Amino acid sequence: MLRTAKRHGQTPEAAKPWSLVMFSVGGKRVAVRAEEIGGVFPWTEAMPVPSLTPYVNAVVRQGEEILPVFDLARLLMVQVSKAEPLCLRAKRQDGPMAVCIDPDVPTLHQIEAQAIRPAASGSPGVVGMCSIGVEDVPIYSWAMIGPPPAQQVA
Amino acid sequence: MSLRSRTDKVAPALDTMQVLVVACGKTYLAIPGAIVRGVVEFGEAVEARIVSLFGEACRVTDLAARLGLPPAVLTPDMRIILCGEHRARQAWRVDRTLGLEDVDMQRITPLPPHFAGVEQSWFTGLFLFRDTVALLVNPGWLLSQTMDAFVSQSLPDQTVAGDAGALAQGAAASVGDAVMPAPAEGAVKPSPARKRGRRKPSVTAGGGEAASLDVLENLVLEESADAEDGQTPWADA
Repeated sequence: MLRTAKRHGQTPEAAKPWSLVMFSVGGKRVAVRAEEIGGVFPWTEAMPVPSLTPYVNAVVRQGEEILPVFDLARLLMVQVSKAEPLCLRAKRQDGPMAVCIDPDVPTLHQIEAQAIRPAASGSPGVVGMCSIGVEDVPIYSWAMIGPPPAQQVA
Repeated sequence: MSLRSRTDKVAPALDTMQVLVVACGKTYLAIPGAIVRGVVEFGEAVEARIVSLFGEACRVTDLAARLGLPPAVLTPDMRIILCGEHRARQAWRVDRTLGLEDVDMQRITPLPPHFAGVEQSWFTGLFLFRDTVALLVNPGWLLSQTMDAFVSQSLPDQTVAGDAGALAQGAAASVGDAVMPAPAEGAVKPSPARKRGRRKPSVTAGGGEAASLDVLENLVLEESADAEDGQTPWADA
């Protein structure tokens, strides 16, 4: 019973502010929850991988590790600045991915949960909207974009 | 010059896999050496659309185009990789070869699950190669392709038929050696093996003195019968 009551009530977890990392891709500002970011590194040249998976068609080498590249710029229909882009390490349940972003260093923001607005329908991967400064910024979740982790190859 | 990165003749250990690394554009692909039967190196020969491997005709297909990558551009580095196992025969055109590599099986990791499409059946894994990555091609997939479906993805007809003189010259050149030396800027140089007369280069002309294109479509390539290394006879030069 205690557990049921807790579900209906306002838990401290739900009230916690969201830690968001804001960065830009092809000049478009987007945000992702900080726990879905594994770091930011200089971008190294990606190797194209023949692929029919939408937005996943390259790998990049980070030291001794090989990461699949998620083409967020293509999803947003923009082009990342070619001058020294950065590599955002995106955390996902099925393993990390690399995302090429603009050279502007990402910034961390704390946003009150109440300030998160629902995402407009038809925006794949967007879990909410928030205002950072004067900008309305979409909040993406890696779990909501790209192939679902449980998907099996036929 | 040889494709081999090893300097000795020691057979690869059981926990390693020998692969031929080739490039299709910026993508490095590793073809298991066990299915490679030869490499055609001469500039004219790589324009062929059909080659004969062990007496069976093989249509030459652009590997990059088959995989959805930008098709290969004709350069002196272009090669045809002849693959075969049991009754399966395939011939693939690639941009260039990068060499033989003995890959420790532990270095090979599966294609990340983020690649959730048919590409999982194209590649059995990937591994760190030089300062980048190479994709290990699934030999079963490579040998099971039906060539007729991809004819349109091969080199355009005008490329093959564009220069009859060059084609005639190509047809006259010996293309029986499946060996590696990289010709200097397109120069056609007989391999040491052929100088020694180890291999019998054979070109058969479809229709005798018919058009050069017909000749090129019936190139016959033979595997070395007396190579020292039974595993990769095509790799010695």
